[in-house]
Amino acid sequence: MNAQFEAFKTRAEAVSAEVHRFATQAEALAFILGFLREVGVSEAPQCGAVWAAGSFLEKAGKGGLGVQLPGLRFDITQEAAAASKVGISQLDWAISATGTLVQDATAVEKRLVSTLPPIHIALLGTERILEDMGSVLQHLRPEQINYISFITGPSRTADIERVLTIGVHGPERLIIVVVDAFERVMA
Amino acid sequence: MHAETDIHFRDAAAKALLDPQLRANFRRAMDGLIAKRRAQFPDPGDLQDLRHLSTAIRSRSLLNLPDLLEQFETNCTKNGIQVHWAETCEQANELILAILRSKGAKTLVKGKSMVSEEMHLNAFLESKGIEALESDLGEYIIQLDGETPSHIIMPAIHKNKDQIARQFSQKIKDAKYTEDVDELTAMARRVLRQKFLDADAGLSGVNFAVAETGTLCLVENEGNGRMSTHVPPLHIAVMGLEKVVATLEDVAPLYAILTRSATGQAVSTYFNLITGPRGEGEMDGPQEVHLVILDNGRSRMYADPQLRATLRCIRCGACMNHCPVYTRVGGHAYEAIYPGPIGKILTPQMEGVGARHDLIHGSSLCGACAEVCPVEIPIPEILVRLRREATHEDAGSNVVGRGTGRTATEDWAWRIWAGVLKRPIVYRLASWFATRFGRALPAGAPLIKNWTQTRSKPVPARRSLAERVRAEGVPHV
Repeated sequence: MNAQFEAFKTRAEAVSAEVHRFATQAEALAFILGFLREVGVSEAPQCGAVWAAGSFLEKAGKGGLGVQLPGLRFDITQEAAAASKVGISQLDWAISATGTLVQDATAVEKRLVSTLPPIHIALLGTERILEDMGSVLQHLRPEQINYISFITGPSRTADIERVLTIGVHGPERLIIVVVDAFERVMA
Repeated sequence: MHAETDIHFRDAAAKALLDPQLRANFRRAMDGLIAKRRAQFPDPGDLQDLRHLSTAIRSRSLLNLPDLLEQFETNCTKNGIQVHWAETCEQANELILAILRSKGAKTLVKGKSMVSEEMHLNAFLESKGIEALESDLGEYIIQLDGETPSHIIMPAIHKNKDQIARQFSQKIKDAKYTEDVDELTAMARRVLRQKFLDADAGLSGVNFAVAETGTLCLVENEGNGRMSTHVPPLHIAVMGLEKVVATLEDVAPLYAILTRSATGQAVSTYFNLITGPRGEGEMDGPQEVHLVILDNGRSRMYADPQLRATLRCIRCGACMNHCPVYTRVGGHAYEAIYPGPIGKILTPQMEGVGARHDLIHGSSLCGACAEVCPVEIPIPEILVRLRREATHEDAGSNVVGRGTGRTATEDWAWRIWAGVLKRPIVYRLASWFATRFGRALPAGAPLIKNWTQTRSKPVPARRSLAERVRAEGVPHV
């Protein structure tokens, strides 16, 4: 599990993603709340945060979080996501060979929070990191899933003189929060 | 009979060669792309294995193309994707217009799609009062100037940042002049973000279509592909009918070789597998997903066992990056939607081998394209075949414009050649004249001039071989 994580972290950081690992969900939650405060999430215009539904959020408890942090929303519309600074969503799998995150994004809100705000925080269980695309595809069958997203690093382009520019249409920062005790806490 | 005035490429290429800025822009970009691709394939054996696998997958898909397309349509329909077939670009344009009108859509944001370029969709929709806006940064830049892409992966690579800075400061409202690439990108993002949120419909291309599952695969880096496919309430995808593969397992190697060959990335930032519209109870996402499948000459290519290889193409652009002609003259000289080596075999098969005679001959047949092609398309062999098609009407051929590339000059040259070779007396006489007076012939003489303009004049020997054998005999070895 460690080797898989280290390989994933190396590849993800090589494409400008930021990777953080925590032992428990509580520690991860503390980091996320701290981060949201640090970047100035508030009720001011364009300063909100949107958090898409998932088991991590269920466990953390929406009610308490909303009270702790004004500006953090869980009812996600296109407008809300477009007006936010940070989007948070839970990812299903990751690929260590390429530093890629994989998401069953059938729920449109997951796509909105990972595309529209300039910062995307991606939550992931450590044991969900698999070796390659083939191993992930065995778990995700598109027949049952309307939209599968593979995400590797923040949005980028090199269309002007091949100069690498981070943050075009999608997020300019991708922060990956990996939690060891993800499933255990859930169960 | 094909008119000399149809030949564009020679003149356009000559003009491009005189533009030092254009040449510098391409040279720098292409060198960078070549180096990045090479770095992705450190082991030549692995590269060849992946190429053979990718070639096999594409060949097998094409072998079963009619069945796969049928299966793909059935599964798309099951998933709620509405499939439309278009034989020509005109039909495809009309279909898209009808879909947009049925939803009352007035604005369309587009992710990158070469098929929509092939259809000239933007101009068509503008003429019908619908705004079609490109959202890929490179495509947005060229749309501002009403240009066509000069490269299939990097559409605006013919421009440098100073040119883009001037263009943005003139054409984007409230834009200040800056040559900072980050700031230029941010400017485009700001304009396009609002357009995305306001748009009535989004359009995307398709990189791979999976028959078994009815899935559209979309490869991109910027995030505009994602936005085009789920921010507006209507999503229209367009694809050429050759894009289909049998299973999802087929996609993984093709995706791996596509991004490595195209931009030298191990993977693109985003890879989206789309298998249907928004689910029940969802408030956002496309209510309808439509797919327009375009033929435009592809089924003709499919019917010919040799030319079918053209359809293996996964549109990575590696053949352009490595082509000694393309890297010097750039994409616009080809006056075609698909430039470079792949364009030289694709465009004449779509528009006619006579009409695009210039492209078929605008190659030194050096073979660099075939050497780097991830799906091993024998581009030089196909060029040679098309050269014959342009001047002959062979039985069984279904190539558009076959035989229309003949010129009277060339016909006479061959007739004279045959006449000389068939008559020993005339042949001897001709070689006697050539060996005695060939040196005296000025390099600027008509007909010869076309050759000697860029090459040194061939100098004949003082005696022909036949003469020497007669005079000196054959020495015993």
